[in-house]
Amino acid sequence: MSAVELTGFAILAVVLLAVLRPIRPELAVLLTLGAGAVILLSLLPLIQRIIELLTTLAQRGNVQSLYLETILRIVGIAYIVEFGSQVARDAGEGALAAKVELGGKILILSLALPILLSVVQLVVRLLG
Amino acid sequence: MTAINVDVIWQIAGIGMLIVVAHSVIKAAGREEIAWMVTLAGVVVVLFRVVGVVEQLFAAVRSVFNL
Repeated sequence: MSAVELTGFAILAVVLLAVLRPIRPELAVLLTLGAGAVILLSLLPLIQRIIELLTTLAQRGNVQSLYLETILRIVGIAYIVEFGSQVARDAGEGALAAKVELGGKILILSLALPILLSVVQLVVRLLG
Repeated sequence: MTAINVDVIWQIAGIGMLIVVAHSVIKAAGREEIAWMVTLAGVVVVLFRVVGVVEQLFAAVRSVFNL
């Protein structure tokens, strides 16, 4: 999945959207959704390789797996929420997009809480 | 590396064109409600196709980030 392929696909999608939007706006939204999903889908193998590299590095530096696990999950949530909110905003539903983003932030915060707690405990133990 | 399967957007655009042409032809033939039903059917077909791709994406993301 090279840059040329990615850009070519995006330009093709934009042209098809330009044709489709004036006559059938709802299909344009579906086309954006489909094109966005296809692009993100083709990016996933690259991301997976990066993640495998990071996990091996983390294991070598014996980072606690809880932290890495949470970070991975947070990135996944951001990945999906970003996709959903941008599609909603593109379709003209700014309010819906903001709600999706709010939900994403709350999910990420709820995932980050255990890490915050362990940091606080560490600080207390150091100072105490 | 998974190549981008371009045919998804070709299908969607093709069905879109088909719907528009069918709609105007049927409307010209005087059957307005049939035209609307054809349009609706086309949109539903596209919807299932897109939902399939998005579901594939969500399953892949869930497995990569083990959400």
